[in-house]
Amino acid sequence: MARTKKEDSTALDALDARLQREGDEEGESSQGPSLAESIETRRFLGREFLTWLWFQSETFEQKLSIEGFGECELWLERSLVLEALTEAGKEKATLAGVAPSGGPEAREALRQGKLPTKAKIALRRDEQDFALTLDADGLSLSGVKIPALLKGDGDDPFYERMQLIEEVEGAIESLYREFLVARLGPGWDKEVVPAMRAWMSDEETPALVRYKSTHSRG
Amino acid sequence: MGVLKGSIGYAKFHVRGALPDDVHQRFLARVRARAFKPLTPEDEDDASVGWMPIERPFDDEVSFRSEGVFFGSYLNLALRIDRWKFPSSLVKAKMAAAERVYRQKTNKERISRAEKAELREAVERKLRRDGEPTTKTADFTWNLATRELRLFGKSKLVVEHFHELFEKTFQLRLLPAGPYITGIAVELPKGLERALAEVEPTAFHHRGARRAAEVA
Repeated sequence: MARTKKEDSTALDALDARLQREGDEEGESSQGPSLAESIETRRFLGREFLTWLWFQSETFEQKLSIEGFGECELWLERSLVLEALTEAGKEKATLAGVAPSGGPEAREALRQGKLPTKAKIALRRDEQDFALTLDADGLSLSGVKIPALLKGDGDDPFYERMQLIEEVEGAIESLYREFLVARLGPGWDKEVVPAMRAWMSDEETPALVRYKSTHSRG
Repeated sequence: MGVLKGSIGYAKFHVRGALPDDVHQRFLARVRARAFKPLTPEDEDDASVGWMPIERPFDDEVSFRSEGVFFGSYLNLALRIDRWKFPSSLVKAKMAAAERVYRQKTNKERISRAEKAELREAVERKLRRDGEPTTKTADFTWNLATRELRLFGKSKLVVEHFHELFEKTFQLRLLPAGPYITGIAVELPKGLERALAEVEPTAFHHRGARRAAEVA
């Protein structure tokens, strides 16, 4: 059940019109940050999304229900890059292995204030396996693996390939939307962040227990 | 990395601006007008950038047919960038040899700046005649119905050239899909878009609290 994308997004049109206006007014005095600056300074949301996704996957034993994609298993695998900005400069940790996100080094990196900037993500829906590397700062995908579906001579490889690419990308976007609704809502600081802090510290606190019971997935 | 085959990795954009009514005819004409032209040793420019059919990006002759560009609701093309680019060590060695020959011929100890510039031009022309330009291609696929475009190439050089050529060819604008633009594109519930523009980083830990504002 794919979510139908609107052919015309008025919100994107309004954004585009504003960017053009700011381009025309460049150099003139303006109050507050420009839209272009806002776009640059929101990049941290990508890292927080990846952190939240990692938290969701581990808290709910990899079982997720993704709007437009369906019930699936999702986990982080093989390689994970985390970064933090410190007084000394940028600190980076690159973890590799079969399941680096589950190891003690990953949790220690989170406790040190590092957030994931790049992660390899695997999804399994029924018998179909997908994988991708998500770059958090640009929300861009690379190393995308899609199931081979061609059944007969009449099948068109290009359309099948695009359909699967758009499906897995759509799954990530659905999750991002879900993250943003939580992130921008009133429950983030009171409910989600305490649960995520407990998860980062490997502690089964009341906040984490409450979160698990109220947000049970699948 | 490619639209039709190979590894899958891309930069995503949202295309903004009004599409013409006669999309196929109009766009095909514009693509042909900005088709790739091969570099020759005599060209003044050291790079050539243009469109190629996605199924044959390395052909010597370029021709665009509608069925090779439009795949249902998708428009697919390859961006091709050819450049004359020689290792600096090679250019240096050739220049040293050319200067030696020049001194012998002219009996001059010192070569003026203007003479060096002429020698350099001659060296580069010869390198071009004897060599091949470097070629880079990047496919893109544009879903005309959803107005989403995927460029299968992420290097700064490719993205910059692509951006410029796309906007000149189609007279439309590209919004790169990052956390903020994607946040707008996924159409959040009413009221949350403003919060999206104003939200500050989360301080998950005390250390993060000190750094959160700086990271933003």
